[in-house]
Amino acid sequence: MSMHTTLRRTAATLPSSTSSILPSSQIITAQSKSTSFVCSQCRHATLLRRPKRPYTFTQLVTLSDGSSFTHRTSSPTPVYRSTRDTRNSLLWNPTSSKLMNVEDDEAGRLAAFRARFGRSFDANAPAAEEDATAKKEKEEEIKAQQAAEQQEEDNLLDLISSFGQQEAPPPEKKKKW
Amino acid sequence: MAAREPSRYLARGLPRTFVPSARSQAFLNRRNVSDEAPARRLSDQLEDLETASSLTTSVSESAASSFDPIARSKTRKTQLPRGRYQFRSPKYDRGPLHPHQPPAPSDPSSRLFVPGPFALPRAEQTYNSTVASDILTLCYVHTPPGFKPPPKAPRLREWDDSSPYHKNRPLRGPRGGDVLRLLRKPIKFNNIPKIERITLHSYVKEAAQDNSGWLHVAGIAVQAISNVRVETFKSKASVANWSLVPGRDTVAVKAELQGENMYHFLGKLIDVVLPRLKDWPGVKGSSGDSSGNITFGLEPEQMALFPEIEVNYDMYPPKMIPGCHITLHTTAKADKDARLLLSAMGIPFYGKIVQ
Amino acid sequence: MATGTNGARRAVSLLRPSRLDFGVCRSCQETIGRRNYASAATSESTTASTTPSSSAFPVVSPVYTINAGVVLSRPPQITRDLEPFEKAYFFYQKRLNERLALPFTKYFYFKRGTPLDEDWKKKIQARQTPARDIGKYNAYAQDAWNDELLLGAKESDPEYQVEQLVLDAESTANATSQDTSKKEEIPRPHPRVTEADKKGDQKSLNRLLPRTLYLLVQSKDGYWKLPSTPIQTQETLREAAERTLSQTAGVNMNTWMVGFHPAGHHVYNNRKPHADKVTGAESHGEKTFFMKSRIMAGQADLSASAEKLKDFKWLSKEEIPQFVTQQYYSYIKNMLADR
Repeated sequence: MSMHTTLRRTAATLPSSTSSILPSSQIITAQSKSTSFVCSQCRHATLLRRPKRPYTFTQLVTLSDGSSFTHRTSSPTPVYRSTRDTRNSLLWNPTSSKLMNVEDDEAGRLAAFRARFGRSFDANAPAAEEDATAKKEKEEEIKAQQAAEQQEEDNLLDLISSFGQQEAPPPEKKKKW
Repeated sequence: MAAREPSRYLARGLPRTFVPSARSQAFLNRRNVSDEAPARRLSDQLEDLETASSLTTSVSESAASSFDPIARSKTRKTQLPRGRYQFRSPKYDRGPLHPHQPPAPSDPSSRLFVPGPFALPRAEQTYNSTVASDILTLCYVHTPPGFKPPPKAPRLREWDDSSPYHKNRPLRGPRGGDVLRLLRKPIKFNNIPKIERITLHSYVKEAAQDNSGWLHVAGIAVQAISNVRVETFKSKASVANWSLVPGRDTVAVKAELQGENMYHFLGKLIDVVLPRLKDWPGVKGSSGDSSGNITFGLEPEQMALFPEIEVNYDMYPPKMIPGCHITLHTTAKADKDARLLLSAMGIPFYGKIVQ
Repeated sequence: MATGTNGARRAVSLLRPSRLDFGVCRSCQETIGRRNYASAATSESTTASTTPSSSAFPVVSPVYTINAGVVLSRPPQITRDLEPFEKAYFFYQKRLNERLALPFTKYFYFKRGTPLDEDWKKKIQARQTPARDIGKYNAYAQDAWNDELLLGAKESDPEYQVEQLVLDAESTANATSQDTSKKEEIPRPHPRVTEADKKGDQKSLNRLLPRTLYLLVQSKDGYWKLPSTPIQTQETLREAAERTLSQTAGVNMNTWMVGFHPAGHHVYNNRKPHADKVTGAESHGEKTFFMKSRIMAGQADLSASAEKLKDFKWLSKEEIPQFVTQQYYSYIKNMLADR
């Protein structure tokens, strides 16, 4: 290999006044692509190296809103579920009021705290900020929670889903693979 | 080559009567465009074509279910020698005049063959179906018929012949710098900007100071996120503080992504990785090399957010995951167009947008 | 035949006098005139010819009503369905890749002796390859040449491949979890065919997810068209298009108008010129210029429309010819996306 490269270099550094006897190699190999040397007159054999490519899997990526797509990746995990992506990040949804108001509460600790101790400590500040729709949402949620305590889980799901349809058209379901 | 050769000899060897005489037929069935034109219809020409593709051909159920190539090959008394059914490409290219030629790289039997594509990437489909046509509409500039643009000054200035030494001098570069910018042609249907390739580059200065392990880790990390084997590079600069000597220390890895790999990486980057970066404002608005290539960087802790590194984060030695520069090469001739394209694909920009 | 007509057309175009003078819109003609003034030093003859048109612009004899139209579209939401050939091709390339790519480095991802590793070994024995979406195939075995699918095999289907991925993830989760009582359930992707597709609801935006949908409205006379209204005085095309959209389809939509230039046009000639009762001006027909627009959220609502529109539909390119006239479709078809 080392000899092979030096030969190439000498071929490239030869003065161009020497007239080439053979036409330059027509077949573009990976070797000649990767090196920047111009081989004007090669009389030796060129090793045809097999291109090395890592093993790739097909992976199913599920975004936070349930849309999913497949891509090729080197990781062997069959399904990747993301919690934070373009569908729920503020930078990609600058006008979304839902994302604006929500605190960085991925683990749900703040919510758990509020559920236990109430939210009187910040009662003033968010009331001024929140617009009417957000308030409405909160009330609906509380109602839904109260109803859910008495009823089954399925009924809660029904309530939430029906609430969404009354308020605004449901977000377009996206699914890509 | 040898297989194609006999046809010539065959034609020569056949008796005269079998060889169709092209001349007499052409004379008898002489056709003019004028008398044929109204009678010819598209449906007449289509009659020769097969109506069904081979993929939709119906085969009887019994024939399909009983077909078992493995069992058939085992019933053969003597197996064919390998060389009879498998062509092996020569290992060396011995030049164009050598009788033993390797097959073309697109041939699956070639040693250089790269299979693929394996899928139709999502980002590519979005570009083709939505982004490209929107960019075309956005960038349309109306020139009424008969409009002649005002003449522009030549890009390279001539010398005023104030001195006799100006004779035969090459032309001067533009005023205010020697850089000759790319010509930005109006965007038409055939030059809509698109993403050409993506380069991941990672410079690991510890590779020169400490040991080569840094470089191996960097190479594996970049390969894991890009699905492409990296190239390594030696340092060109001499930095005494980092004990860098030009041409001696291998300090950088680079992976070039094109085609399907590129679109998969872009989709993954935009949809999964970039939103997870903490307090990331976006790509800086002044980024770009003013010829349509945008670069931004990822810190080591941001690199670790790629799902491919996350899945076996423990296997990478602690604190040895490198940062990297991601360059998005587009076919746009100006940064303005490149930013339009990339923001349409979902990359946010912040700060003052420098055109 | 094609060459014949082309030749004839070319000959006609040569015989015809230059259409530049009357075929150009007013603003364009003014622009040409201005440009020529700027470069008057270079060519004096052109200035002389355009002077009358820019100074005292005569009323062009055929008068048309100028409309602003909107091509409101919903871009494709999901990737398109693959053709059978594409499926077969991708599958074949994947099996070729098995043989040609570097082997999977198992110990970089699974530590020896862990439950994940055991699970991986078991699965590799079953399917003989690290990949989950190419069926049972060992590229390094004696019979690796048998890499083509038989008739009716499902392995090349994307739905089947995704199902395999999900099943694999589920079985791994079940095999490695501590409590065996609970079964892990990984949600499947949403179906590619929605309820609106099944019902044939052409008013829903959730139909035909892999295609671009266009908003068509039915006027009070009963014919279908893209929303359009006459441009009022002192109004740019874009403003008129935005007004058209809010007047016809309501304000309950989040839309984005693409650029400031129309993407297409439609010319309608009346059989006889209509005379306007108020001004007495004759109208020879309508010219509609369509601006491109994208809908992000919301839904059309015709209750407040000023034109008393009857109905609206979201249609793909293939469905539009069933509703509009052939002449109208021939004008608009080239600005509609293929997918």
